[in-house]
Amino acid sequence: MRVICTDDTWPIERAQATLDRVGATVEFAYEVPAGEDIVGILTYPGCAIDATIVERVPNLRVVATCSGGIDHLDVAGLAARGVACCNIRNFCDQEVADHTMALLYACLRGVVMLDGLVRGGSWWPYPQPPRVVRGARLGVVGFGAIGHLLVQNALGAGMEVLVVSQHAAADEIAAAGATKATLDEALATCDVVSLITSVTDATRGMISTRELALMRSDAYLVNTARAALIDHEALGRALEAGEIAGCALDALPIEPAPPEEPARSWPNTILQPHAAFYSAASEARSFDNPAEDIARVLAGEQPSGLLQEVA
Amino acid sequence: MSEGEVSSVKRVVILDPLWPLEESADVIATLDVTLEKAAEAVGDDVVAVLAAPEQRVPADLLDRAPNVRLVGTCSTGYDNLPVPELQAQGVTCIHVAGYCDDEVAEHTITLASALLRGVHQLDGFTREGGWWPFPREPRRIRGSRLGIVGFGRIGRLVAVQANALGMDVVAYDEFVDEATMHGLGVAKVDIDTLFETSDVVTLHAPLLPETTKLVNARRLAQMRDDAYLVNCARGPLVDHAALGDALAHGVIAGAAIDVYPVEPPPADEPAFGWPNLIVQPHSAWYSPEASLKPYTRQIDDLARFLRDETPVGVIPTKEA
Repeated sequence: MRVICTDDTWPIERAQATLDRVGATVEFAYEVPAGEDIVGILTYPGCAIDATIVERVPNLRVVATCSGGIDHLDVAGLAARGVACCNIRNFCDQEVADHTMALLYACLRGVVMLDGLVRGGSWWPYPQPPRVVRGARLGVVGFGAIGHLLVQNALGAGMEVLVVSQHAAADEIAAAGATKATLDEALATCDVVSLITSVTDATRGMISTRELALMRSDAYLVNTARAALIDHEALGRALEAGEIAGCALDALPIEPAPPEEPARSWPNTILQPHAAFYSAASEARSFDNPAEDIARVLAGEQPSGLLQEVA
Repeated sequence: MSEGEVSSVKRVVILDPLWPLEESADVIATLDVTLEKAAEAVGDDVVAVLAAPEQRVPADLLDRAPNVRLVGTCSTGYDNLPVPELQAQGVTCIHVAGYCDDEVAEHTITLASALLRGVHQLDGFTREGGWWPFPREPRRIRGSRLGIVGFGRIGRLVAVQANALGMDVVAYDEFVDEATMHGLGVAKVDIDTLFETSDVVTLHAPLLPETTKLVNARRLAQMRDDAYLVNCARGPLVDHAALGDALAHGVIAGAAIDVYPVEPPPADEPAFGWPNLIVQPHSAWYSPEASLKPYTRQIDDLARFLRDETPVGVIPTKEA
């Protein structure tokens, strides 16, 4: 039995140690090869797996991703063909909430821009004024586990918080100390809009030209979720035109970002290498849990991250 | 002409060339003195001198301007004024406190969280084409220990903000009791424990002879090699050269400084070559709201003094 790992950064020896107990061997390949002895795939958001994989890998039983996001997996299609898909849940909620707070503080207080100012030989005046965080209005788009933590942190910093959610009721949001709002209300009134929702057909490209035009010219956009939530061409235009004050992006349309990634030349942009999830502990969980789930499926046990019961 | 009778109109010298006097035009119109900007205060007709932190008022000020009765700095820190010498000669010294406490506390938390999450370094890394593995491992903010040196107004606000992020907050201040710290969710520790155990050490002490180079090579060596230092207070609290050595040799993981030995720093400021350092242009105090308050409040205090009222920002005389 073989398990293919499509991520060349995966600590593959640790996965092998986990899979020893079910007698499977792990090997790396950027693209999953054809093979009747392949029973599992370890993957990541940069490698999409759809249901046609079973034509090449007929005995595939499980696909496990080292991410919370699953927009790269055809979960329903694979389940219909008897393949279990697993993600990892809540493995980095605190890290992402922490990183999001660090980025929104960095935007409002201008620290990255000011570091560049000083290194460039300037001192005063500031190209963009640092602002007071206390009393600033934050719009949190998405009210999952991370959104809850983010709301709590932002309220603690003295911010006023609006939550945009299709699922959470106004009283549930009020119980967390925030106010339910429509996306347009949040865009039009917030100092910072933070995207912390998953990519679905309803949210893909949700921030485009119209939405950016609704934002205040002194407002910041923070994305620690997925790049596909944003129309990046529209975002680049809005930044160049000064329609918004700046942004912080932890997700880019192509990851790792290629040399020609245009965001590198956008003004007032903080770029992060998909780092919000990271701490030493969360990184270990992100690789160990999927390998463990593959071992469980192969052993006939229930995997912890199963997304949909298989046919 | 009798001795001392030189001019009928008294002068107030403003040492800061950028002082926005227009913001206080209404108050200034009520004063029977002239306000002028000059690099030096000289003359029998000078009654008051106002400075910004960038200007150092000389200890021998009264040798050249013997009738000065008020000296002010439009900042919270007043290490640019020779306060004991001036007070000994009967000069009232004023400063402006509390106009930017929220800003400094927020900027401090911003820098502490940026260091712990590697935001600044990872931005540069991504721009240069890097992606993975990260040159610096982001750490959790929740649960990290923040050590606050100096538990005055700003130190306390930093503690509140840090607690809101779930940090483990400890503080050192010999003048603040344990119960006061406990009331704000902070554990009082000795200074050795603070430096030895904190993930981030942040300075909020005034600059005094006994706090100069408070952070020296010995203190830096006490810090964990994965720990960070934040200084949004005053440059001379840190032995600058020792900080450079500590960063170059990995004695500590990084630092963020908003203040320098000389401000603005000269073009050959060595800090610009140090690794794992965030540099800021003395901006922690700034917000559009805070930017005008120190100037207008100080002119308000000048007006009070000239009306023989007590200024709000009088620096108390130290007991001998």
